[in-house]
Amino acid sequence: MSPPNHSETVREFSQRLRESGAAALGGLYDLTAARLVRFSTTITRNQQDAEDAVAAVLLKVVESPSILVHATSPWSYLLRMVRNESLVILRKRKRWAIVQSLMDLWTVIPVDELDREELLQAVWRELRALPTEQSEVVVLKIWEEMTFQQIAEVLEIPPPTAASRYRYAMTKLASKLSVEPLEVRHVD
Amino acid sequence: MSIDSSSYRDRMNDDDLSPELGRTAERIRAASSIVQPSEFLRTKILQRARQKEGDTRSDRIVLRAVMALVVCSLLLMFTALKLDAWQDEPVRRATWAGMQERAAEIAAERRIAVDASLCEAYLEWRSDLSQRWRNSNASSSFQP
Repeated sequence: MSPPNHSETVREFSQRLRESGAAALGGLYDLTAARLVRFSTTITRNQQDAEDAVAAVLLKVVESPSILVHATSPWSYLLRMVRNESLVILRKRKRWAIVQSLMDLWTVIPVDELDREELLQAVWRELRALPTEQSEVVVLKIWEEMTFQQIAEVLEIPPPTAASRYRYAMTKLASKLSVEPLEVRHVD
Repeated sequence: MSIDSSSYRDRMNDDDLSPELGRTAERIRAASSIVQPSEFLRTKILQRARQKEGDTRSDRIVLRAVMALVVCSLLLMFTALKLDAWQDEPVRRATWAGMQERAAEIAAERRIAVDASLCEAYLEWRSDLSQRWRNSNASSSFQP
């Protein structure tokens, strides 16, 4: 779950990075990397590319942490940087084919979720089958708990466009994923 | 599912979704943490960051060294120009070239050309003088 002041925490870590240099990168990595990789994977559809994008962005942040310190919303800015880098990598490698298998993903299933592994992986599979512009809205909306206004800022689109993409994506996902009532447990 | 304008500003709750879409959203939410960065990503990024920082530091040292070299070169050029100007000073006359130059200056000041014309002038003056002596001796010997 995204804490309400996540953006401020990112700013605080960026400030430390500015003061202490690369030695302080570990904190920012621990705070953001998993979520950035997750977001980037929905764009690149390949975890290796996503990790390359995240690495490139974090190295840029090390070079000039001030861009995050002075950003209005550092977390949104970081997401936008990762998105742009992911798109660059995607364009460079021309990997437009949708990967149906999850073999390239580094998945971790909590022990108490093992019985639902297939269900959880099905979500990823279907997310990757969506067009990028729809899957990224779903990720930002559901996993990053952003408003459509915030999503619009990250994706540089009007808020109504973000909302309609979300609607289309959710309708598709609902039809693809079996939607019988399940006891859903949160994985933190 | 309906999306009104207020939902652009505020987070859309699962209550705003139909039960079917709400369940889908819950399922997606549950799958959020199954994809994790690979084991070595952290080490790789931190290592690269430190290496880059080291490279930047080395670049700064090289830049400073180059700047120091440029400043030294400028100082040397300045000194060389100063030395060049100093050669025009009287001290320069202590050298062989300086003495020759000074001799030429003196010759010019006295309007004497140190060459064959000086010898010719001298010889002319000597013959003129001897002629006068001869004339004066002759006139004195015919006196009563």
